[in-house]
This record gives sequence, structure tokens and C-alpha cells, in this order.
Amino acid sequence: MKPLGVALIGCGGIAKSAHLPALAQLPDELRLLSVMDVNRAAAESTGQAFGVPATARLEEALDTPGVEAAIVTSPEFWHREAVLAAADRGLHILCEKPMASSLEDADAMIAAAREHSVYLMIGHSRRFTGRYRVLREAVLRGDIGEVRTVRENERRSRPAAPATGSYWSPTHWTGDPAHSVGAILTNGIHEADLFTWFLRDVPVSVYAESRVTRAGGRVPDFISFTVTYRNGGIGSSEVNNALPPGYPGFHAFELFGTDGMLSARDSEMRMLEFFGADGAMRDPAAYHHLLHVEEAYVEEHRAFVRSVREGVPLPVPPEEARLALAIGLAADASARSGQAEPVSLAPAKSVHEGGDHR
Amino acid sequence: MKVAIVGSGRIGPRLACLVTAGEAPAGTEVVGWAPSGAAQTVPAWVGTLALPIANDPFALLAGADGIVVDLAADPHWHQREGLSEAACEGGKALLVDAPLADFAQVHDRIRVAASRSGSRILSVRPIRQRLAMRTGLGIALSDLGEVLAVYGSLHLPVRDPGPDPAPSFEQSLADLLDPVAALLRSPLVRLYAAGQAGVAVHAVGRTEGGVVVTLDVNRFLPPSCGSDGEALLEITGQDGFVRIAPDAADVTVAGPAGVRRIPWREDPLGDAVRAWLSGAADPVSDLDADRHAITALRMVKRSRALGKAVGPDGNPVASVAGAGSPSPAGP
Repeated sequence: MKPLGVALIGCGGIAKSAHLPALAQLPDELRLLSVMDVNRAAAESTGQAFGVPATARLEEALDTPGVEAAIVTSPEFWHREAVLAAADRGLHILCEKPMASSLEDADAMIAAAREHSVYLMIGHSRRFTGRYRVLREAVLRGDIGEVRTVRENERRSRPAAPATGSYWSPTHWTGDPAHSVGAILTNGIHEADLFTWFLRDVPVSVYAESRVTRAGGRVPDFISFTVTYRNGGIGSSEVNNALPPGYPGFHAFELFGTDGMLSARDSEMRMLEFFGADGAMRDPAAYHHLLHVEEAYVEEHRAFVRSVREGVPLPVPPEEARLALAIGLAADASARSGQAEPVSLAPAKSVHEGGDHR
Repeated sequence: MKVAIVGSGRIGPRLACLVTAGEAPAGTEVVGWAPSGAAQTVPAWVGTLALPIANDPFALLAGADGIVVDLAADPHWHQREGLSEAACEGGKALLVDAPLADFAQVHDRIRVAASRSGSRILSVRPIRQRLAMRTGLGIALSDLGEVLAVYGSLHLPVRDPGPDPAPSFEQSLADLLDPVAALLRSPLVRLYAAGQAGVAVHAVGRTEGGVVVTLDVNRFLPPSCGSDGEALLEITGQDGFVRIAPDAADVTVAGPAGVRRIPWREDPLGDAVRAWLSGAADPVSDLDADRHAITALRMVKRSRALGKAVGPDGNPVASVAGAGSPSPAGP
């Protein structure tokens, strides 16, 4: 089967660090045909590196002959425009997380995908990371019974010398309150998605406390939030981007069920631990289960292509990504209001039925 | 010292061990034991020491120099507070689990009584007394600059791991709140808590100074984990990060039958009992922190009952509709 022709929309950090390297590893599945960024210099630099046409105009990139799908890696406040333009042209879309910056935008994106019968997959990459796939398979097998709580604490460090244009700086979009609500959507959206993925129930409400830790900062780079689910399950996370410079970023994941426990604690070099009714297992050599490896994005792209080419259900349906966004926005609202806030649930049913990635 | 013991908690067995092993200070004599309520089973250690059993715990006060109020926080708050207050009013030495009381006002009354009579109060803090915790808290107070956030967790086994009685869930929550309160020395202005009653608490709150506090306590550790409990405190400051995991120091044997952990042997309960019996100053006794912990404990209970974030008075915090971004923190 010929490779899926794609246009890359957005040539920023995540495109360079994750999507382009993944594309390079999948020459039989994907072929980059055009790149676009509102920053013409960034587009041209990327286009030159990969030998494809570059443009600062969205329509030009999407209308490149042979393009069948768009990979949208721009900031979330631009996702709606890019996705609607792609859907309008009958192009399938792989869109970075968070899905959008508002539920209205998310609903418009879902509606556009349905109207034009195109696949819309949101890049919740942790679902394709080895560690979480292994843990999820254990949960689905019933190895630890019914999941009761999920916690993931995510810790990242500040830059040694905050540079203009670095994350959370006022000159970067992540630090601009006009475009960003801070840590909850920039990185906490991963946890918001994982909670529901593991608990497999309906989120009801969120409580959060956030703060701005950088002098001169304008959006929260720290948030602690707790999500309660209809079945009594709890998802909790401290997303902390305030660790001292040079401190290695790490995640601490714990999942307690009625019959056992799963955990992965980077800081203790405990990659995978399982404690169940029949005994315990620890896999200290599972370094490949660390995050931030190319494998996750390769798997993510491969899964997208499989859905488009073979009609396999999307492993990350847009409705599930909308749910993660709803949790994130409720957390932001809670941090502002000082009270628990309800999670807004989508009433619409997906045209493309989602399923577990195998 | 002539010591009387009331209740069947975790302190009595430890004291009994010290006495029978000859490790208690010279002159220590346990003069009697009283149950915490009607129809209580008499613990084996009471028989071992051949203690007279009193029906009325208050009757023990007259013949004792000091009293161990070994009662679980829940459901015995009222009796625990009453005995503590009576002991302090009578000038007796008092050994009791932290916190002193269920309400800050009662805590204050007990301290005033002790101050007037000269009573010595020592409250047991099994987490804060761990060497790693004392070391880490000291570093956090001196080297981290402004504290931005605190994460604390306490994971307990599903079933009691050993012969000593396990503390109540509320007592375990209080055990974790103690080092957090000692670190922050600032009251919580709001807190939200959720979780299965008596089994789990997930709480997020904020102090007067803007520190975000996140707490996890649960009784979910499976038996195959081979652990008596795991406490963790992670403190983020402007200038550093401290991770305190007192239970991480151990010898772990993992095999086909599961995981067995041989912990670094600390005896915080024993250390507290010895210090109290000998009249030595307890290096971690801090009744001011105790007061903050009391308020936090009440906020947890109220928030869970209401399903809302509450303030220090236990009432729901007014929602700030349409508020802007959280205020920046900074110097």
C-alpha cells in the first residue's frame, strides 16, 4: 500500500522533537509532502531539512498534490482552524494534544470530521508509550481487579537561565495568558487522559490548586488536581514544572486496584512493579519503558495510518480526547474559583467507534 | 515514674515491651490499665505485666505520675480529650498520639492546663520521628528557599501486618499531616478531599502563604508488597527539591513467593516512650504544628462529607465566579 501523503501543520518544538523523527522511521507508511508554519522561517527551515515545499499559508500546504492527511502540531488555540480546513478538503487528521483550547472548538472539530467522514485522531502519545500500554493490558486482564485510584506526579525542571521564547516565559505562547491556561493543558492533559483510560468510567468533578512559580510568570506552571469518577474512582496528579534547573524530569505512577497495585517510579529507577494476589514482579531493566522515547510517536503514527488505510477503529477517538480536555478545563476553572467544578460531558456519539489499541 | 495506661492502641504494647525487656528507665512502674470502653478485650501484654484492671480510667489518675492515653482518635476522641485534659489539670505527665484533640479549642485548653500545672506532654509522631524525615524536614526548612508545594503520601497495607494493633485510618491521616504541618507552620485556607471513607483520602489544599499541599493516604497496599507502610514527602522550593522516603531504606528480597522487605529498623514509638519515661525533651514535640494538623484533619472530614472545598471553619469556600488567573507567586 502506498505511503499516506501528509502535510505537517506547525514546525515548532513537538514537530521537530517527536513527529518528524517518527515520520522518518515510517517511510513505508507515511510520506511528508509539505510543511507549514505561520513563522515562515521555521517552515522554510523544516522544508529544507526534509526536501519538501514550505509555506506560511495553511491552504497551500493542505492543497499540495498527494496530501491525504494533515498532521497538526501547532499550539492548541490554532487547532480548530487547521482541523476544519483539513476536514473541509476531505483530509484525515492527526492532531496534537490537547485537542483544542475550548470545548466549543473541540465540538466543532468533531462535527467537521463527521460531516466530511474523515478520521480525526488526537495525539495522546502516552497511550502509545510502552509503560502505559503494559499497565493498561494488565488492567484489562483484571490482574489487579477493579481500579480504585490512579496517581501520576509529573516533575520537570526550570531552565537554568530562562531564555526568551522558552516554555512558560511571557514571550512564548505557553506563558501568554491570551493563549494558554498553563500546566493543566500543556502537560497535565496527559494525566487527564490517562485517568479515564485506566479507570474506564465517567469523570464527574475536578478540584485543583495551581500557582505561578516563576518570577514574572503569568500562567500557572504548577497544578495539583483531583478528579472524582462516577464509580468512586479517583485520579490525582501533581504537575510540577518548578524543579531546580538540571533536575531530571521524572514521573511517578501508581495505580491501586481491589486486588493489587501497579507502579512505575522513575526517581527510584523502578520502571515497572506489579503486586497482586499471586505475588510480585519488578522489572528494573525496563528502561525502554521510560517516557520521551521515539517509539511512542512511531506507534502513534502507525496506528493512525492503520485506521485510515484499514478502517481499524481509532485508538484515540476524538470524543475521548474531548473528555480529557473537559477535565483539564474543569481543573482550570476550579483553580480559579477555589471550588470543585463539574466536568462537561459530550452528549454526541462517535461516528468512528473507538476501541483498544492492539 | 508510676505509669497508668488507658486503651488498646499502639503505644501500650511498646511500653510493655520496654518494661519486660528491662529497657525502661529505673523506677518505671506500670500501676494499672483501663479499657477504652465497655466490653474491651484485655490485651495480652496487660496479663504479661500482671496489671490491675480499672473499670474507670479516671480512677487511675490518682495513683499515677503519668498517664498513657492509648486511644484511637476515632471513635474515642471525647474520652481521649477528657483524659488528657484531666491528666494535665492534675499535673500528670501525658503521653498520647498526636494530635492532642479533635478541635483546636480543646487542644488549647489542654495546653493551658499543662502550662498551669507544669505537666509534660509528649505526643507520638511516628512519621516525623523517623530519622530520614527529621533530616529532610531540616533541610527543607533551611535550604529550599520559599516552599512552593508539598506532596505527601502514606500507603498502608490492606490487612494488619503484625501483632501490634494498627492505627485507625484517621490516626494514620493525622500521622502524615504532622510533618506537613511542622514544615509549613501556616494554616490551610482551603482544602478539598475525596475518597472512600475509612480507606482512602486524596486531598488538595492551599495555605495562607500560597503553598499547594497534596495528600494521599490509603489502605491499598496488597500483601504481596511485603510492606508495613510507605510514607513519602516531596517538597518543592524555589531553590531546591527534597524527597523524603523513610521506608526506601531497606533490604528487599524478591522471589517466586513475592517480595519481602526487611526495613531499616527504627523504633519511633519506642523512642517516644523512652523519652517520656525518662523526662527527656522530645526532639520533635511541637504542639504548634499539632494545632495546624487538627484544623487540617477537620477540614478533610468536612470536605469529604460535603463534596466541596472548605475553609478552616469547615464551611464550604465561596466559589469565585469569573476570577482571573491565580495570582503569581514571587518574592
